[in-house]
Amino acid sequence: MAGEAIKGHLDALLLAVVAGEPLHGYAVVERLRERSGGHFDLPEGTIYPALHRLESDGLLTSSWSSVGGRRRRAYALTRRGRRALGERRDDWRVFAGAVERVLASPTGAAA
Amino acid sequence: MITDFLAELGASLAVPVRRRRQILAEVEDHLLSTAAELHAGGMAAVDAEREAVARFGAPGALGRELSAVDARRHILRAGWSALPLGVVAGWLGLRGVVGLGASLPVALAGFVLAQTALVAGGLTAMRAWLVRRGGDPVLLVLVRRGSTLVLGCLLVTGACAGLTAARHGTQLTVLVVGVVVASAALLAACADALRRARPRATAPVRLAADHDVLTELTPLIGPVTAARLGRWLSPRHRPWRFASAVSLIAGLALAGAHGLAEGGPPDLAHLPRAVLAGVILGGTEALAALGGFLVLGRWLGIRPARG
Repeated sequence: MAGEAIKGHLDALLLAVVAGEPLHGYAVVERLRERSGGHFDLPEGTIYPALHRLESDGLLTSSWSSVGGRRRRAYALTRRGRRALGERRDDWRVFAGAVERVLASPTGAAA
Repeated sequence: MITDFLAELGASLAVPVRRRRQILAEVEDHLLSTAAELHAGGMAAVDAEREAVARFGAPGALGRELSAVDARRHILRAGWSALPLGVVAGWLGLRGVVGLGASLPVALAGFVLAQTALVAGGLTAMRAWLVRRGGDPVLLVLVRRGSTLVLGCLLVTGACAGLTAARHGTQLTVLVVGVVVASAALLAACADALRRARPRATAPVRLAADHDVLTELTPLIGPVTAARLGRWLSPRHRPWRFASAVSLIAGLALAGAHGLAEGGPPDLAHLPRAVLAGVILGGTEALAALGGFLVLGRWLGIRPARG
């Protein structure tokens, strides 16, 4: 259920998660799980197409390092990504506020 | 377990070798990190690997998705280069073929292809920008078509301009040589991007039956303006009015530009002749625009596809 619900918002969530510090894919999934209180527990591979697309759109940048003999890729927010995150936060607040008002209204409750 | 998963993922990836290596290294790091954490939490090593793979999802579907993202990147790259290439094709067609006095059929081809390249280049770059801004990914099909068309136009106008210049013994300036070299490099990059995207660009993506250029412009001009414009100039509902208006504007613009470039008639006695020249030029332009709409309008997604 959460997997389906998250689909339209995955880009914004990923941008928000890497906004604090550069993170590699595994850490992104962990952070997403932690910050959502375990609610967003999607198949872990699904984040990679989104991360790659966001990088190709210039919203994320990536760098490689070597950790314990393994190559590791970490993603960080670009300036454009930070701007996009701000816009998506605003859009979300407007959308969530509108949904909340509709659901909370007495007519909605009656229906 | 992890090795099998990576082999299956690798087999489903349709990306260049370097990209494939990066993807596999990234996924391997993720799977090993998950397995290590589960193992540290008390799970047996084999079970930890199995669980890590299970959590990751199906390798085939992931490989196809990652390949589509890679194809998208290449198509957008081709789309960005379509505008400068279209401008070069337009310049070569109008100045290097028509402007140098080529024979009538060659001049006509240069005239039509130059404008086709300009329109296709502009539309393609706009669509690439829209897709990058989160627009409908179905536009990628049109970005790919537009880039291919611009490439074709540039090759033909370039060949025509080269032949015309050779026939007239035209001296090439440093600027012209620079533009030709730069556009050849850009053309090669664009062709390479299209080639790399080719195997994955045949994804079953279809334009909506009612798709037209106005629906694409809606995010840019807003739904209210789009609806207002659509009442008068909808390529979907009033294709002929749309085509006539665009053709008329293009014809008037070219006739006006020609008049300005020539500095107008020297005296009143030459006015009828100047007006006639403007009418012929503007009329030819309008007919070319109308022809372009008829022949390429559907293919370029300016008006809805048939059926």
